[in-house]
Amino acid sequence: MRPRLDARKIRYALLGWLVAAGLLLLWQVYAASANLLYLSTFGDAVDAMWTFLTGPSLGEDVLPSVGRMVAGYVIGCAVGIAIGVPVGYLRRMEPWVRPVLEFMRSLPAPVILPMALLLLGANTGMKVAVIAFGCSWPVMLNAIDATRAVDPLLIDTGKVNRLGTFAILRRIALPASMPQIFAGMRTALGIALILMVFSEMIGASSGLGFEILTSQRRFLVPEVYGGVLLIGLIGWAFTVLFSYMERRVLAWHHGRTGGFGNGQ
Amino acid sequence: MAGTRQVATPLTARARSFTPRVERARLVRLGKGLVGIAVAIAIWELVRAAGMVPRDFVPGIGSILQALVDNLGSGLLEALGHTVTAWAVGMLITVAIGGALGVALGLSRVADAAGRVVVDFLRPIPSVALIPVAILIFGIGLRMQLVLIVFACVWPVMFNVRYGVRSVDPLLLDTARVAGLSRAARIRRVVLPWALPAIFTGVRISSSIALVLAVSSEMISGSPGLGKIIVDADGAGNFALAYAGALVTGLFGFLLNVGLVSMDRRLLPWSVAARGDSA
Repeated sequence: MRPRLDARKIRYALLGWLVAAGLLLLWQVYAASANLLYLSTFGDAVDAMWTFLTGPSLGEDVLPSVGRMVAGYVIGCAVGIAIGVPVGYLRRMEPWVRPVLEFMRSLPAPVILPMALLLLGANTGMKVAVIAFGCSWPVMLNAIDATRAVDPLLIDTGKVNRLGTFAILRRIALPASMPQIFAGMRTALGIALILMVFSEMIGASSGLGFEILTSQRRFLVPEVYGGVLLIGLIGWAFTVLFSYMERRVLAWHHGRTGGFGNGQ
Repeated sequence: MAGTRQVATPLTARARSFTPRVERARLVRLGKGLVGIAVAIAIWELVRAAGMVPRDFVPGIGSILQALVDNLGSGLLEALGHTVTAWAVGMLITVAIGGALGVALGLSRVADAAGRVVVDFLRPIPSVALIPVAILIFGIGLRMQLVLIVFACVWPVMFNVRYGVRSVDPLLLDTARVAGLSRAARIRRVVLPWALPAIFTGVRISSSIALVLAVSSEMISGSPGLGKIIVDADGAGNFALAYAGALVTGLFGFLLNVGLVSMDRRLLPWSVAARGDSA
């Protein structure tokens, strides 16, 4: 049975890559033959991307972009967890703060960028702050919901063992809420990428977002596509990294499906 | 809460017979929420009064509301209309395309395998990065916005539909087959109802992404809508109007979320959102 199954898996994987390669080829051939003003060939886009990665742009745009995103994301997640877990634990607090938090989550984060620009100026700190702001809400709301749903037996066990409130939060509520917090952090990762690019499109003079927008305005078409390819690649890398970390951190959870997660 | 599906109807019936108590609990909850909002506004005003932020740049709640009322007729409502149109049409197209793709990927392993690599690479592209590309190809306007919205929002719908379709109990499908239902009828009458909660989750996630894109594409391209109002007012130094625009955007997003969650609960009492609230 096993070898046959594996052979099928390989065939499926091959099919996926084949389709992807076919589409890229189609792009290349179509763009080369149609010679459209607004469409560069795949090859030119890859060249432009390569220039981003190897030229001076690497130190001026690419790495700062990624650094700001990581900083904002980490800060946002930390703030979301630091507020969300205690608020969820103090069950009575939730109805008071819920509407305000839901509003903040519903507010499309790009909207606050002009205000942040005005208050904090067009600098790195502002961009990091906006990214952190956008990331914190989904993490916070997931942390609240998850902590509220922690099995009371676990909390009581902690109390019986004379753990202080902080110890209960850190050693019981936080780990038990981690699976759902990770769901929030996954949403936040997408938001961080969006805000990284967006914060560089308005009131910025460097960064990948700035590069692709100015390239578009100057009709440097291959640079536009190359920049998007690179941003997609960065997004893909972070998604893979995130899944890897989630698997490692939540290994205990997957090992006992039907344990904690069952009550929800 | 095992077997939530069967329990749902009697539970709702029981809840109805206790209406006064349920109503009171809801009112208390609403009251607490309103107090929370009042406290948030008070903090805003205190921060301003204490001079922790430059007062010229951060208007008070009063002047924001004033700007909102003053500009409602002269631009704000019209802008809201533009943004909502982009959002609504975008969501319709998204649900149609994402739903069809999701059903195909959920039912056919070959289709799933064929699309895997392409989807894995397209999905992480933050759609805001595509704004310049979309402007390049489609120019400025609704069409550009729709393309962006659909590109960004199709994935959550597609993946949730695929997941929902995959999770259909095979016994149900076999029963339907034995009962002589055609393939199309099986999809329509067994697969879709079963997958509905998952589909709804996808729609809920997509709806907020769609709003982000509608607004941010307006901010960058200058297409008419709330995003343009905010950027223009900000540029002109009319900060009260900029904040009013942000407030309207946030309220629309808030109503969307609340509306979709309560629709979920009402129409699909067996779904996750309904269960989450019962705690």
